[in-house]
Amino acid sequence: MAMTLCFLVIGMQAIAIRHARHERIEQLRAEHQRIESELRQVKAVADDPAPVVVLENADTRVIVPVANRAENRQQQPIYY
Amino acid sequence: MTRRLSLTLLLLLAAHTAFADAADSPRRRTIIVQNGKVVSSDGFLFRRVFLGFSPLDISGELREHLGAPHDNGVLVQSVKENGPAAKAGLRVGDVVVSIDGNPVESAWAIGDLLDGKKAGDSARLEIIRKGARQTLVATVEERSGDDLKMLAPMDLPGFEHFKNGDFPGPWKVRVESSANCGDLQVKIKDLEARLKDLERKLQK
Repeated sequence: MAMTLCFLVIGMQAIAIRHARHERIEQLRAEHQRIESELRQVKAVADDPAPVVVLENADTRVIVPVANRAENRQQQPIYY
Repeated sequence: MTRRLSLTLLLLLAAHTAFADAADSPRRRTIIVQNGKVVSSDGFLFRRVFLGFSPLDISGELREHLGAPHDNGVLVQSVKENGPAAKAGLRVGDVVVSIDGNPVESAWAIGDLLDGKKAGDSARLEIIRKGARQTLVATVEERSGDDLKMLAPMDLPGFEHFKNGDFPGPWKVRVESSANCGDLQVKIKDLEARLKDLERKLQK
């Protein structure tokens, strides 16, 4: 009886570990896909012949292709 | 035994210091805005102070036609209501040829000409109106939070302060070719390293 209980506990533990591992792998895959997509987008900006504008302060860089700004300029006047 | 314990403690201390350093060192945040995921309208000439007019680059021929020198002058296409330029008397259709005696060669140059100015400083605008040269004196003002919001990628995390109109500065602005943009290359390397790390974890 004790032996059966012991096997049952071990079995449940194994299932729980397997489930946790499966979830972890799914998380890693999702993160992998997200980063892959982000990398594609960043590379697209880097490969674009249009120049980029870099706004920079101590710890932040905002990079915007100039072409985007040109589109935006049509929508709102820019005041200097 | 004591030596082994000391060595272990030393290793633990070194590991702790390394992690603490990594956590303390500020991580550079790079935001890339593309295809309409916000967009600042005037970030590339962003200064905290402004004159409040929207310039339009025009050809040398049109400048001459309007009575301005061939090589400098921008056409005023819009004047912000109650802004510094409006108060100084600038009007749509004027050609701004210089600011504080420095020629305005393009709309892009105006930000640089305002560099170093603080709210309350004056700026002398030399303009051409109906073929005649005039000088206007404007008092530059600090942009309001609403103006500054145009610059911010609102839908990105970490930019809450932009939404509140609170802009930690100072901000520097530069234009680079995409291929030579160091920040883009750093970001690409960072993403590639994270991908490799994830692939390693997935293979385990």
